Amino acid sequence: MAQPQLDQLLRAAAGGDQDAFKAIYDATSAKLFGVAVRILKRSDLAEDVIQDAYLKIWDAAPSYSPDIGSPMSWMVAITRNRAIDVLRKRTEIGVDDQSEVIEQEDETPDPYELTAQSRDLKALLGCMEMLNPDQRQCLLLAYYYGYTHEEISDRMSTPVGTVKSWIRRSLARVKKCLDNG
Amino acid sequence: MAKRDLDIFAGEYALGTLDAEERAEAERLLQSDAGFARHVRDWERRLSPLSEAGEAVQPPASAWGRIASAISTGTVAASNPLSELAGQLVELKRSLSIWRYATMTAMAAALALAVVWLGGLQSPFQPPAAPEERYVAMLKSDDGKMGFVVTMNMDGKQFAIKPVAAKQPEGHSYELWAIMKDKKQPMTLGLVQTSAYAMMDAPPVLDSKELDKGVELAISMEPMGGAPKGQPMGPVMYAGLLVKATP
Repeated sequence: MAQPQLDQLLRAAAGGDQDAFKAIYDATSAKLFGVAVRILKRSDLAEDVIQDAYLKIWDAAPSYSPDIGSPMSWMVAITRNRAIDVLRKRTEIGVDDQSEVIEQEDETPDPYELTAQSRDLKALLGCMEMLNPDQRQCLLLAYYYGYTHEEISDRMSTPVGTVKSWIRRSLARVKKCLDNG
Repeated sequence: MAKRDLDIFAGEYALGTLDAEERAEAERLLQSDAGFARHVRDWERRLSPLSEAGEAVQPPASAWGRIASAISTGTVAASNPLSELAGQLVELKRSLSIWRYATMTAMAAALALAVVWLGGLQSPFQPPAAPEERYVAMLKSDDGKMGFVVTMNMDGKQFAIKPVAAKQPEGHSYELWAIMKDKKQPMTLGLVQTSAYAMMDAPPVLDSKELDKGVELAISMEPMGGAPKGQPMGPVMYAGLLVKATP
């Protein structure tokens, strides 16, 4: 959906228009559900997460402003935060029932392979190209799966201290690059 | 934490790589430090283009139901998200391991016995029979207020529900649900009143084997007469785990 239209629908929803909100849901729920499923690897939990996320979006719609990003990126951020909160709560205590985990090919999404990239994505990927491939991979694993430093360290067979400093240094470099771009 | 570090900490939070403890710290800062909140928003904006990659997945058709019901009844702000139930279950499991829980269970058992005794089911003057197998749940609200006590007696396949401090919601019904370990959907146990102690039939599936696996009870606020589709749509008002109160 074109960005201006989502903007308009969000403004209508902020005024209490439930039909506009349903249109937002129809246009964005597959994206947000995809985000939640990738992080939680469970369809039932992901469904709860997007329900919570949409209620928060409905609730916070009046406070949305384009300064904090596009409507889509704002909604994705709300969904990711909720999904990661649920993920942490579960793994912290070890209640995860492995039998319900969706078996999926562990292929990290590759933004570099996208044929249609927004201007912002091109700029971000350009800056991330300055990082070495391992450092870049750390950022992608953290963003797409919500992995902790420890989990990334396991997956990349790299000491956790190294992963931490890679991520911090990478964030600092990406920020500097974007701000100067 | 130094100023420059706070910006990177915000970046790590937005990236999603902080562990549970660090995340909780970041969320506290988000509430209390406007500068930190601005850093987080900036990082979310910088990183969000990454979400253009990644597969879209159609959610189940049922996903819209609870959203529609919450926005049309205006209960959004008061809603207690269903996914919180997972968290509440975790909290209960955690508290099982500490002494406070032992005290709570003892109190609940005493309360349950008092309920039975007041009901005249067991006279104190008769020789004590072998203890019946009994399960107790204290259903609390999000902020820890006790709403109902449920005692389930495995012999009669009935359970008693006693309102403690719950208020009847205006224009709505309270519905009681059992959330079983292996079942995806909650099962309704019926509507509950806040005015009086009541005995209700327990469905056969709630046997001691199921209860030992861990069954959580939850009370949601539904339209008058109960959830129209047999599944909870409204916010969860009270919840608690059924625990064995007899040896």
